[in-house]
Amino acid sequence: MALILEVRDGRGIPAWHRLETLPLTLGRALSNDIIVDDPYTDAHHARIQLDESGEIAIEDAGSVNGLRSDGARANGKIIVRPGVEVRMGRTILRFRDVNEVVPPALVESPPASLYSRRLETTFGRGAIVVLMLAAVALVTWLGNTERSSSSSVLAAVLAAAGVSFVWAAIWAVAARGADRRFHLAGHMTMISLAILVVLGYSVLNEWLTFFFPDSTVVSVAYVGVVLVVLAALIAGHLSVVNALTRKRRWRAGFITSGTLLVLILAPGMLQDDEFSDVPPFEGRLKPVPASLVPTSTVDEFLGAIGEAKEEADREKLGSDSN
Amino acid sequence: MTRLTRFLSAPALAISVVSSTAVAQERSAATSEVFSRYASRVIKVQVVETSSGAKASFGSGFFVTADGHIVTNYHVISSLVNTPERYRAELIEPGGATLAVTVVAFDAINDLAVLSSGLRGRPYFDIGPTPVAQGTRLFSLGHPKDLGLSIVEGTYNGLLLHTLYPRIHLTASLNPGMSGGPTIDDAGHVIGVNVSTQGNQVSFLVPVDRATDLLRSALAANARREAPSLAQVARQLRDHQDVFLRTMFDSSTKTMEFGPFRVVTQPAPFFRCWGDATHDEDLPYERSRHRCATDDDIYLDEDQTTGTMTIDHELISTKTLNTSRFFALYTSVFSSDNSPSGLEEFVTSWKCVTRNVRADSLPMRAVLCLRRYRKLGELYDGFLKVAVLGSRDVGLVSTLTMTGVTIDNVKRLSERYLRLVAWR
Repeated sequence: MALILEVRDGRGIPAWHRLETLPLTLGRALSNDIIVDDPYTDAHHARIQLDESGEIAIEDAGSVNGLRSDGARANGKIIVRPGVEVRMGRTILRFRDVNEVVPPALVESPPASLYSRRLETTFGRGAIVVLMLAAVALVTWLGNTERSSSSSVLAAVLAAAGVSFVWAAIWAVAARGADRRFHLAGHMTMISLAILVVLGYSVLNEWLTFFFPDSTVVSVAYVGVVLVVLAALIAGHLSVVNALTRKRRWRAGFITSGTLLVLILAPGMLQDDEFSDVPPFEGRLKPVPASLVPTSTVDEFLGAIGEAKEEADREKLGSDSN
Repeated sequence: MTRLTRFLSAPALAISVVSSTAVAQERSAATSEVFSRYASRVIKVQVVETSSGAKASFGSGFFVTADGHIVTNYHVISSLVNTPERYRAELIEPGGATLAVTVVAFDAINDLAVLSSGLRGRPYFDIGPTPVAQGTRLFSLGHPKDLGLSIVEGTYNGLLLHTLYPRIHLTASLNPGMSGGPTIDDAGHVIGVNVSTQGNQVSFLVPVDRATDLLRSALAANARREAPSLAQVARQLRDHQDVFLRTMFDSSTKTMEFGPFRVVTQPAPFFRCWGDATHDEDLPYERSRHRCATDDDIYLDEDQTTGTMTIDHELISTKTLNTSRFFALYTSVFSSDNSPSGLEEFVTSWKCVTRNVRADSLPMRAVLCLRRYRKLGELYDGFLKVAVLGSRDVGLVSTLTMTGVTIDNVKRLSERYLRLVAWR
């Protein structure tokens, strides 16, 4: 029964050594048969050899940390069989049968969707960034009422470009992949896509609040969309560097975006109780032909004032009891 | 308009006394006579914090009965009514001695109060109706800016024409601290009670008949003896608003053309209206405004008044902006804050409902906000703001503000107002 030795370093990266020529020395010194780059191993740490009974065994060569097996420091030699695991410093030595059955190969599938195919090309990525800047320019221009809006449009585009670049750069540096590349373009694409979606939904939200004023559903939906987009953004950044499985990426995304939203919204909601002498209302107006606006009658509107009265009364009575 | 109560944060200015021309020499002799004859009937009134002894406010007052009743302004002693447990009122004699006084009755609407000092046998003004002609020389007595009892000459210029609460226009330099003091003719008849000034020798008096009415009801044998409180202010406000709000915005209300719209203007004689328009060539839109407001208000505290009503119309139109940009402008006009300010001590925050409403086939975005007074029973401030929908290049934002009103009045007035906005 032939054995092979799997040496796994502290980062989990494996290397294999055949046990054909014994004895084999292990340690940090470059004169060893198996060189282990682990600060917790001695220069000459261990030796694998045939013992008196003809079995292969591994033995400590007088090292500081010794060899550990099953969590305990081993005294004397350890007989080596398939499945035996020995710890040498921070390195794990695993002995395996060369005839061990390995799982079959996976079938290579084409890229999952249009999304990833298009995004992978430089043209696709560039198009998304340009589209995002164009959308920012358009939205700024449409909201501007001076005679010459070019300066505010330019300022907005520069700000959007600057913020996305900084955001992408932080991700590029912090999440430098195992291939040691920055993937800046990929990160820029992700943040541009997120900005595009949020901008688009904000415009939609304006129309929704116009048609359905005082609707909690619309406000909650907006928060929900931001939550999902933020989660997708983080998952997207993680996918650019191929970190984690897809499920884990999305989980990381939702946890982060959920936490962020709570941190941002909580103080605002707590402050709702603070006094203000400015009336809080949604003043957004939209150009809709008169016949298409869904309206209440005057009586329905005045009936709704009962809600406002109750809230005001509650606040007054609340302060009465203080 | 500055009320004439000296609050300790007011800046100091010089007092004006009599002029010094040769003719005035003759007149000043009479003035000094008037002063010497009647000065003893006027005292200083101050409101003091009971715990620290710090002066909260002061003004003037004058004796009106042999039993030592004093007339002054409501706003001089309002702190005492707002928070009775924290303050006390006292009068200060010319010699400097202080004496505690109590508030017997007050009329917050006309800004008057009757105090009781218990001082018997002091010379007093026997107030009653006195005819007076335009241009009559009058003399105001009081304590301007805490500089000692002073006399100021002025000219009677009749009752103001368009106010809700009657006011006499006096041409004289009254100053803070003279609130509650009397303005008399040279025979010692009280014509009015000093109440406010706009500077530049434009000052106002509460006509003496209001003081007479209040004194009579305070002294009536079956008069209610209740401690002064904001609940009384609330009652006075409620009774009073029923009178003038009943016909507000009814079918006879005056309207005017405002761009392509027809809007309410001058709803009653006691409103003052004015307008302005922007003519900036650089702006790609035009903007006009028309506003009407009641001048009179009821004093609750230095930074909180009530009992007012305002109407505010704002018209915008464009020939160059595209629809989307015009509506960005329209949105910012609609969202800008033109609501009355309020103190947390007196009112709750605003609570609003927003709907798209169709009133007589005119579609509008309508917002109605309410806030309740904390210490005035069931009185509210109402704020109604509408934006007319359906046009791509012209818009009207119209606001109605009413303060110190009942909820029924808010509903009734809002409904009438909504139906008064129309296309031409």
